[in-house]
Amino acid sequence: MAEIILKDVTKIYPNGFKALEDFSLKITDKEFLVLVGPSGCGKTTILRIIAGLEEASAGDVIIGDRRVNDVLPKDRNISMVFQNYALYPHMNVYENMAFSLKLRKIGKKEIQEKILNIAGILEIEDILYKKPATLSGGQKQRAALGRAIIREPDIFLFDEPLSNIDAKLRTQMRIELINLHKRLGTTFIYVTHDQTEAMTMGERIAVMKDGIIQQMDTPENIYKNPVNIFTAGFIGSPQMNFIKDSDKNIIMGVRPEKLKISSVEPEESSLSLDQCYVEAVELIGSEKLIYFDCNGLKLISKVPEDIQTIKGNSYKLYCLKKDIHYFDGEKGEKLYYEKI
Amino acid sequence: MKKYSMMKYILPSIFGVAFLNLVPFIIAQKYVFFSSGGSFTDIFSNMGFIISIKNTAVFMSVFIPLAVIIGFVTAFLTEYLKLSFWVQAAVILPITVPASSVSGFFREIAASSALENINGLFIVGFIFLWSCIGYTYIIFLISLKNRDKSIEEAAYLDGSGTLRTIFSIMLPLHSEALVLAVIVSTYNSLKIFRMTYAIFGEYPDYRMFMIQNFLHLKLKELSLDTLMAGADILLAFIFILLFFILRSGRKHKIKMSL
Ligand SMILES: Nc1ncnc2c1ncn2[C@@H]1O[C@H](COP(=O)(O)OP(=O)(O)OP(=O)(O)O)[C@@H](O)[C@H]1O
Ligand SMILES: [Mg+2]
Repeated sequence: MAEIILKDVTKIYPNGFKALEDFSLKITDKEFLVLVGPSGCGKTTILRIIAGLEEASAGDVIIGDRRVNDVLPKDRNISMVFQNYALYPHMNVYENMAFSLKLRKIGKKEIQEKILNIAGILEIEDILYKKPATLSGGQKQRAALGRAIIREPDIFLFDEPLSNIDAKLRTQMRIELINLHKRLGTTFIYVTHDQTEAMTMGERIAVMKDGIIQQMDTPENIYKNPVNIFTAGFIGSPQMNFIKDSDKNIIMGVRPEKLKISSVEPEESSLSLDQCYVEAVELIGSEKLIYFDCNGLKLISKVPEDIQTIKGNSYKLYCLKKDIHYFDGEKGEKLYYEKI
Repeated sequence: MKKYSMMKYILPSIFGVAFLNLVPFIIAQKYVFFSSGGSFTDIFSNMGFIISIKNTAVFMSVFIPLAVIIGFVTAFLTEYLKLSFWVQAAVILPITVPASSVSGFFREIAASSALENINGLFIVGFIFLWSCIGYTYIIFLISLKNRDKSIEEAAYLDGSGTLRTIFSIMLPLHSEALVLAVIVSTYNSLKIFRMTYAIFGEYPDYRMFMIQNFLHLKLKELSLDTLMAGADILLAFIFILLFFILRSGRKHKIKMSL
């Protein structure tokens, strides 16, 4: 059982900076939770508190059914993959992986079996006897993963583990990590500031800002029903379009794929914008991003690749009423239809 | 280009060292190799020499490691327990104090009846530690401050305790600082003569009679062949020591393949 509960956790760093205040979070056993948020919002702090590398200034940290606030990191049975991998530089990959097993007094033969088995899964057999300094970013990443897996921990913590490797390998590693999660059946907490990564990997996503969870739900629900303007803007690429209505003091949000180009008004009720000039067009595979300027308001529309527009020309844009998200003009919170 | 401009600054001091130390030293070798008797065989039958070299060896093998260990522990505690400014100052300040200014203080301590039965070597050792720990402390502190903390954290998560982490992870990662600390302590241990001379004079208790005391007396007696033979042996001893220190340091570096 590796359910994790953070209850009213506050973290004040020695310099007086309050990184978290009354932070609560429940992660169910075997879940793949992604913590996503902009730089400095407290993601690493949360991981470090769960791991025991940082002490909570107040509140409870509960793993399984025990309160672990006073339990040392080494007794929590948690593995963490650091952003910079933190491999032991004076040991080769094999020794890096063997370190925790040796501490548990596991026999040489068994250690070797385990390492070879995991090296097979991660395809790192050929680098087992190399030192970290001689490995590429992707190889280091796998080695760090190997060291984390071999201990068979209850919980895996990942702190932006893919941010140092190139885009192509990153996509592949994402899939591998998802498969690894299925295979190991352990709780994964994955931190990233990349919303695409969060969307593709998490069973649930917790979107954070300034040490506060803004929304926690499945990627789909967050995308379809962002609860405030921050989540709406943070999740989704390209970003949601925001149109301010100063009279009603509301902000309307429209996803780029819901902003259509048309010469004919649709029959359903809709919002329409005239005189939108094409500023730029960006082809992304089977789709296109068209950047519009509507009297100073910048909007992006995502359309099928075969729709033709001419740069500099003006078009009429519309969006169905049901596709508009309404937010409070000041607080940024989602407004539901009845309140508008 | 860069190398050349660097040399501009280094060359004068190389010449200085060569003319003031190296050349006279080489010239002085004539007393050892071209004098009438066998200086090297003589010197090993000299009681004073035997005692002094034995004391020096004991002194170095006890107090150099101690200076290194205490420096490391204090630096470690500074990093982990955030030792107060005053503790840090107490460790560092002695390195700025000239020997003569505190010799009176130590002379009084050494003369006090409480210390009468203590081996003089330990009194010298204490003074040595007092004056040298500041260096080893600073060396380790700089190295510790520049480390990547997540490596130790990974070790703690891997189930390693504090001591285990220090010996298996931290010390190997700070092997360069370790080598430097040993070299600096060795250098300081050779310099400690200035302090003991200021405190105990020319003829200290035989238990604290070290190689420099011996060389100093020989210089005064102007028995140059014995002096040079002793100096050669000391030099050979230091070179061998340095060789082993540097080699073990290099080994670690290769192990890390940095
Ligand atoms: N040791 C520390 N002392 C003081 N403040 C700290 C310390 N560590 C982190 N902080 C502050 O706490 C806040 C949260 O830091 P944290 O490292 O958790 O952010 P993060 O979400 O992981 O950011 P990033 O995406 O850049 O890694 C930041 O504002 C940071 O400046
Ligand atoms: Mg971080």
